[in-house]
Amino acid sequence: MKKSNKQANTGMKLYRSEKIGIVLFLVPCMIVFLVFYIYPILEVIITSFSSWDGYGTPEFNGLKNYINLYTNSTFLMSLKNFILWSLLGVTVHVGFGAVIAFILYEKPFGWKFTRFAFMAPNVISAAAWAIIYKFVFSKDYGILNTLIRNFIPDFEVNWLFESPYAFWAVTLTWLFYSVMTTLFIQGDLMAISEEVHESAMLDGATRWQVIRKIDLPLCRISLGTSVLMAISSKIGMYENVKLTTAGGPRDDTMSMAVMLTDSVTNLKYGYANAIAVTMIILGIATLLIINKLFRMNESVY
Amino acid sequence: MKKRIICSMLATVMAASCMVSGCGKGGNSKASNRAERNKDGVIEYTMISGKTGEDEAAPYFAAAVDRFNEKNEGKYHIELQGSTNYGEKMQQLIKSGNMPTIFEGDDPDFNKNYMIPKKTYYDLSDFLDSHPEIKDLCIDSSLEFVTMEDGTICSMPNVILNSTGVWYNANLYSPSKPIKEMEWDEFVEDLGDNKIALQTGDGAYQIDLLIPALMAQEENGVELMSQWKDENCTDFTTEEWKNVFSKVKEIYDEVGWSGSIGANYPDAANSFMSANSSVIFNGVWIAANLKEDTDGNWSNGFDGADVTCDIYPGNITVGNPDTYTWWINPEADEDELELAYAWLEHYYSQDEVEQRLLSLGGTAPKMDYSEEFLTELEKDPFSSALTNAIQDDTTIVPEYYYFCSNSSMEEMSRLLPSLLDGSMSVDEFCEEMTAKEKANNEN
Repeated sequence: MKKSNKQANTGMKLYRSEKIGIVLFLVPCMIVFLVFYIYPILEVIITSFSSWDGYGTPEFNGLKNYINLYTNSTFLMSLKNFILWSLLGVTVHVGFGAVIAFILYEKPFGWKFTRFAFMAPNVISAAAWAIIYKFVFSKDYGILNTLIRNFIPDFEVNWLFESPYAFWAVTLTWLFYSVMTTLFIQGDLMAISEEVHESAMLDGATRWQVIRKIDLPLCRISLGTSVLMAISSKIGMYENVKLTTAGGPRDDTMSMAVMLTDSVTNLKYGYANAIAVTMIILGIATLLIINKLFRMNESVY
Repeated sequence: MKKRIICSMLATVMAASCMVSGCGKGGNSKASNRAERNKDGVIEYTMISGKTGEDEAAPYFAAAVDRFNEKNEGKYHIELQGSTNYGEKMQQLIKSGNMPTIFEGDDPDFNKNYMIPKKTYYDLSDFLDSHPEIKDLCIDSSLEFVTMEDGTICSMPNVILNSTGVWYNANLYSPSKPIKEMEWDEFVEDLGDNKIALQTGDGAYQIDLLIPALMAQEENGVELMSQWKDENCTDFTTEEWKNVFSKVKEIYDEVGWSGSIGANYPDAANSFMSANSSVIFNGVWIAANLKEDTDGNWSNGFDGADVTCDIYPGNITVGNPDTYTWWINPEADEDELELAYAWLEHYYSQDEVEQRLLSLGGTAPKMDYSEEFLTELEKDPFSSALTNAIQDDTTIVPEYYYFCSNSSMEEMSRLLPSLLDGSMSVDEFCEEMTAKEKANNEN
């Protein structure tokens, strides 16, 4: 009896010491998390209810920043652009990346070259692409207008600075660069056992049926991740806009991130933080919806 | 037990290292930011400056510091420390209570909204009163600008006016008479097929320089711009603004470079240096790109030597002397003040001001130039052209961003493409600018 009590005490001590160890190991992470994540986010939220130039003491102004923001035509335009870009991102951007992944998975003739050709431009930063696209869409010497002028000699559209073309020109700076989607889906496809495909084929399934009924469901997590990335990148879309049109002409290509940085430049930190809070809320909402829709927490197998 | 000790030690080390690296203030702030007398009696100071590295003023500034050190050997020594994000760095130092002994102000908004309300400046009126030779050189409006309501002087006034003018490629365009003697319509007609390099992107800098020159021709335009310097203009629907933007549209239609819509400053400069346009508005700092060693940036037969300049039609130049320059830490001790005074005496001496004019351009309207300076100036056709064009009767008007807000520049940059391509009328443009400015001011 004494022996078993002693054993239980030793077990308890070991358990307690392990718990202390875990807590001690977590302390640095918690400090980093609190100092670099929670504190700035709380500061952003609190100061979003104030008038603040970034230097002096923030003055509480209730919901004024939010009312001004949600009634501002520029913000409404940026919200509309976000919705449109998200829809295009989820459908065309992710769809294109997925199609390329399925094509590469089949390993057709020249697939290695195709993979290189598709992936190489993706290592170029969005900022560099934005500058390249300024030349592509230039009115006088852009590649696009030069090509069109072979058929219509007097053709003259300033793609990035004329309504309604500017929105589509900016969209094209990112729409087909979906290498991450391709990589995610290709990884999932390669993890599917050959036997699964073979047995489906033996049962008389066509390739299209295999894709629809087996491959796509098994790529659910990577598809969900791609959709999440596509939408969240549109919440914070900055370089593609700032370096091409800066949100113009008028507000045709305005994004929330550009509005935010403009507000900071103009020392409207309270207002900028109201935009930031809106972006955080949109981000969290996107995360929750995608998690639910794609059942991200459930295993595919 | 052993495991527990190891765990505790590791966690303690990690926490300590994290706290030290993340939260430490680090270093002796006095030694790095403030002037101090060393054991040999020399007052030493590490001066942080944005005028280093690639900055166009870097060669002059380094030489000015060298001249100071040479002149004051055994007494004072300044070490120059470069900073690429000078403005941000200074703000961080000042906000964290580490204000340097003497430094150049960078962001006017920060100076206006933080330094002045918090009175974080040393009153320079004693210095100026004890140095009448320097005070006499200061541009009147600049001295007025840095003099606070209580009579204290927060920052050194300007003695040099850096203004902008009309730079043209004489190989392509020969004015029928000096541009400053023309009216705008006459100038536009005189240009013929020659183009002006305008830009709408990046705050529309080229058009920002054009607007004050056009506004100055409006009745009361000069007075209005002067009034707006205190309280930024927010109403663009007035007759004066409508006339100015109509003129901008007209100039673009008649003689605007075809790539102006959407162009940033490098695009506009490229069009000028590739002979696609013949005229560009700028300050003398453009001369750095017109010297022979920069011919790699030229094309289509452009030659920097063909470029000359004048001021705007109507005898107008655009520049603003009302800026903040040198500030001294209000908590500076005797040694620090001694060094700061010595530096200002050196920097505002006639020799040094003339060196600065020769290196960086500009004019010192209240200075009687030395013969040596005038001889040297003649050797630099770019500086001398602008300096000689500005006379006593020249109207000096401030740059756009001194009488309109930064946000209005951004809005204008976004709206101008629609005005210039004709999809928006001048009235619509002015109303939209006012509405945007109103929305920005409400926040």
